[in-house]
Amino acid sequence: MARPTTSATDLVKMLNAATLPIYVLDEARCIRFANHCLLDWVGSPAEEVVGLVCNYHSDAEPANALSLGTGLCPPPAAFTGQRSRAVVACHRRDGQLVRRWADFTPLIADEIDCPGVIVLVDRDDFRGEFEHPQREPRPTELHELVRDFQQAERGRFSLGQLVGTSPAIRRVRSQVRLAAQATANVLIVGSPGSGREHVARTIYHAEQYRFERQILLPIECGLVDGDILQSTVRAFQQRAADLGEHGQATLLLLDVERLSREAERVLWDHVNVPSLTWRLMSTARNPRLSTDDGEDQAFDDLRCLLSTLVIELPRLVERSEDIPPLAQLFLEKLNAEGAKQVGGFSPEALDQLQLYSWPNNTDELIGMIRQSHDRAEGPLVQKSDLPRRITVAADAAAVARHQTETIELDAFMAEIEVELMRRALRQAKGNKAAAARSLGISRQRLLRRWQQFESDPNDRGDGRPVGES
Amino acid sequence: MSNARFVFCEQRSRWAAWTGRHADLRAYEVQSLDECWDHLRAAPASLIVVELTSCPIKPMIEFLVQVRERNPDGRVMVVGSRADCRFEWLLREAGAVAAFFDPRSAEWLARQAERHFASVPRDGESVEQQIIDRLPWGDFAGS
Repeated sequence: MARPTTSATDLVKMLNAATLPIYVLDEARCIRFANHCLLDWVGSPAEEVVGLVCNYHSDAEPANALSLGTGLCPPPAAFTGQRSRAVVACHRRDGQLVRRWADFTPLIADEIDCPGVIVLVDRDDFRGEFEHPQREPRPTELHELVRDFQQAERGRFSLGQLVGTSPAIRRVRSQVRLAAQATANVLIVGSPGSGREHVARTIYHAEQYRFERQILLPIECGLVDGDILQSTVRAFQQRAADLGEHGQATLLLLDVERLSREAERVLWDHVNVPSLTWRLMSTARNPRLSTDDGEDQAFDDLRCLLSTLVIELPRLVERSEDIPPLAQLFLEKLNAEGAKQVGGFSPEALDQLQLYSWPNNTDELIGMIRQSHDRAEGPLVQKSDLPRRITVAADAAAVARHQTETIELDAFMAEIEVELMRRALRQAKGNKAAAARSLGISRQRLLRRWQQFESDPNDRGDGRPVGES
Repeated sequence: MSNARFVFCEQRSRWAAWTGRHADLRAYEVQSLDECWDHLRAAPASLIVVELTSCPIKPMIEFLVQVRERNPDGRVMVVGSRADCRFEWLLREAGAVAAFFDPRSAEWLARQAERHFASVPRDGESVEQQIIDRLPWGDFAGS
């Protein structure tokens, strides 16, 4: 049976009828064909485009025919037989620079002998990062994305990141190890900024070696109401069931004490089952989770269920010996992020850090180190590189606190009143009516006040009767 | 100046419009993650709603992780089309407080935004005023 044939003219007609800009380059990067749509897009006639040699350049700003070739040049990988996707650019006749994504397909997938590349340009222009087209990722791309993310997260949340030698942080580390080996629900308690979510994620990543597949769903409890929680937990349950017996699903309830009553009820309905197949981790500021109003047994039961294992995080000020190694750790993380390298802290700067009270705990320490890292001009962070609030507060903390005396107001005022009445009586040589007049009160009131204070009006206060000089 | 802003980072202002039907919140509209950072620097407790459809997934994951690490008071929600819902679990694990892929969920987005802004202290407001504002009869407190 004879195969149907297509003439070159028919092929050119078909390509010219296409609504996508298409062009073809030979092995010498010379444009051998450009369809009508491409010519319309670049705004140049075929004579200027066909025959143009394209040179690869990172950011084309074509202002003439030569740089149009730069704007349309495929990445070198395309000539080694690899399909690729990159941006092409051109200047329109009005001078505007326009960019589009394009797919570059080699005509032969051969690294050495590639006769040319066919280029399909997207229909729409894009400007900058935001209009980057979202294409359907290959299954392997999504897999790689998840794998890379998980690896990076494991590094961020390793047990080694819980730095310190204080008894408090050593206790936390051993509790985290225990939680990672168990499947019990965990409640992590600590003041704001103490790293409650960090510890929860550390437990999650520390237990990864035990399971083939894992999922973590953090829920910001202050933001969800009953409806939203219902829908979210249902989807999570379905996902947890899909993991099977070799997987582990963890629901992380952040600031669990902020759950509304309605949302607590919804959560209780989901977790009040004989064998829960997923794990609950929660963070809270208060170990009691909420005020014990004793109104509803179910809520007390929920609180008990959430707090099988409780990890209490110390405030940073309670483990000030851990501040130098923590500060060094965060500083080195910043070194790893960019070109600027700072070796550490001067002894004076470290003294200041240890004297400060850190009301927002490690979050505040991290923010402060970021600022100091930016400011530091030498190899070490100096005291002068620290934010002023740190140095002022630390200097103030170094001064011994003044002991404030307390007074009993009623007793103090009574003492003054008695003393005034005694003086008035002395001045009046024991005449109660004259003393009352000098105080602007009646004689009866003077006597009543004496009785009230259980004092003897004839007592001068120095052991001698009033009127005796 | 407020400590929290409501910022939409999207191409065609659709989610901002859909959300606006359910919540009376003033919103800023931007078109890049860099502009989102500008808002987070100016108002650390901002709520950022980023549209995934127009933003590559990798920079989005990096953005979520960086907000979580550098700006713990900030919150990010991700919105997108139904085709993007395959990323939901990854985005949530990376730090998105919510991910919505259906315009009908704009009401939920609005409800969560209102709860967020109700919980953020406003600058220049006394503690007493903040307490009164949170009382259920707060509207009658001054009358």
